[in-house]
Amino acid sequence: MSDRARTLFDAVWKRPSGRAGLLALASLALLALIGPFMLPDPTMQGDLLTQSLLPPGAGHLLGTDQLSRDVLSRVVNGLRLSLVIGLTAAILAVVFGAAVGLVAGARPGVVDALLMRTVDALLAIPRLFILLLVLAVWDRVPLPALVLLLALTGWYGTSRLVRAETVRLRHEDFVRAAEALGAGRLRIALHHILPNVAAPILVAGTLGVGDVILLEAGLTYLGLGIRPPTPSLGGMVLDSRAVFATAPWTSIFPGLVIVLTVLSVNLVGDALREALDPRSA
Amino acid sequence: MTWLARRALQAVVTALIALTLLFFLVRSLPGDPLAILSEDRPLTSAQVQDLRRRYQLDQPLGTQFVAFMTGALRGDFGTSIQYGRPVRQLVLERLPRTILLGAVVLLINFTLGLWLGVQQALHRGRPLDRLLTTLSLAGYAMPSFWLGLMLVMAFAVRWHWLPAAGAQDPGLEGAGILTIVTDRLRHLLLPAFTLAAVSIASSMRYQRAAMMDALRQPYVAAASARGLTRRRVVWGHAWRSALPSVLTLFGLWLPILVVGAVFVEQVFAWQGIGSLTAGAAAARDYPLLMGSAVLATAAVVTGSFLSDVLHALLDPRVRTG
Repeated sequence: MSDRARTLFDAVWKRPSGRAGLLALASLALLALIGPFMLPDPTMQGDLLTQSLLPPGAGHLLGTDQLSRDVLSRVVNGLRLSLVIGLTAAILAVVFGAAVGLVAGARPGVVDALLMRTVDALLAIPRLFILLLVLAVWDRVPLPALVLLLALTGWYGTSRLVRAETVRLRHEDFVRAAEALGAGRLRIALHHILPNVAAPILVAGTLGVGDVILLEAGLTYLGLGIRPPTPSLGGMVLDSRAVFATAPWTSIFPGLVIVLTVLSVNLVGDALREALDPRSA
Repeated sequence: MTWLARRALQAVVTALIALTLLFFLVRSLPGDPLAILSEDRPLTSAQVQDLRRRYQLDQPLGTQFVAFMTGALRGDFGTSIQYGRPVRQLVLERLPRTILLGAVVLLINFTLGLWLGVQQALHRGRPLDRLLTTLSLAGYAMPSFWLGLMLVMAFAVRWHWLPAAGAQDPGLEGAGILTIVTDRLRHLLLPAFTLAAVSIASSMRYQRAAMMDALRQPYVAAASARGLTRRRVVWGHAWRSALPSVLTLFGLWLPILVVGAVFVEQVFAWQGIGSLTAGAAAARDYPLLMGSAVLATAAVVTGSFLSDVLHALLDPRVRTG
């Protein structure tokens, strides 16, 4: 498995877009990891009369917002939160999707039909609307619940993918051989089928990170996701609406960081996909 | 059963299951819509009782479900909390604006987007292809609300070239038709561009892949060998055969549009369903949110059904399975 990981990494690294994505992502992750220790408290306010809406300059590299808080510090902390949410939710989503897909693929008939019709229906409800409905009732949703909600609305595609592969593999010789040797359903699913669907799952998961980051930013922008004073990228754009004409730095930088993050994740995801399925290149 | 009947039945079943899921999702939530409703203004228990009756929360679950389903199928979602008017009326009022915006974006995506995708396939792996791929991915990575804000900052606030919000200037009644049309177009430009920029990547990418497949086919090489012009080979042979599979894109692309419209309409104060939804979310206007969720679902199911039908019309293999 580590050999496979190594080969995959090399394949992504070989592609200029993949390398750019990996490098950008590594820099962003590093910034999110150590930045908060070197920057002022993102919620700290200075003197509102003299310290608010300062343009980018020596004291505050990216300026301050209307509450005199350091924009750079808020952007870095927001980035950290976005990455954590994106990664956790995408991983959870892939786990749910793989589980449902394996069950549906291994149990043809009623279970399969029931699960897949449900997935069809879930795919028909745009993800944002489900989240709006839930969050409108669930005022001040705790962060773990928000992550879980993002994961619970993000697994449908993966489950279809895994089911299709499971159905295809079920009649392969190596699976039948394992059956003949007395391996149980669970063992076959985990040891024989799962490793063979790992590649498409990895691609789906990577692209899922970008989707989650965008979705969370959007929900927060609509006032439903992360609440102040926790710094978040979407929340910063929302707050900047009142002052963006005179203090554009309050909205430019958080947005740029979202674009950069999602773009680099997607570049890596694309390179992965090309490496695993050369036909799509 | 014919293919069409089967596909239509499937669409109906999908929509019904989706409605059922929406209903139970809402009923299983930990919060109480009435609690949020009455957050800032204390209600007497009589008022709460009245509200419960009005939203049928005092009925058994089965009765509520039947009422919800029959209501949804008739387009009746009750009264908006914010506006105090029927949800259906509000939605119908706003629908034309959203359709206008959506149609313009659709046009951009399915002309410019497909053309760009073909160019990418023709220049596969070369700098033009790489540049277009990166640009479209950057667009896809952009939060639409942020891109909209940036465009307003540049074109409306800084340079005063285009209006920042709304769909028309006030006080144009009695103006010439040309003035009115120009005014509408000026208002449409920024929202349509924003929505197209964040959604065009999927049309480009899909067309690129389909076109690359088509270009690999032997009959394309044969057409070139027969001495047909490059233009005829590319558009007459390769692109035409790639078209059916590109049409399925419409079904995939519609959800992106529906979601994008919520943010874009909100930023540009475009008085359509999207901004109505964003406002309903902010105001916790539950009936209105449910109405727009059902409408969005209906749009997605219809879109994917229509694209499958178009696909089948152009490619008979689909019908015979």
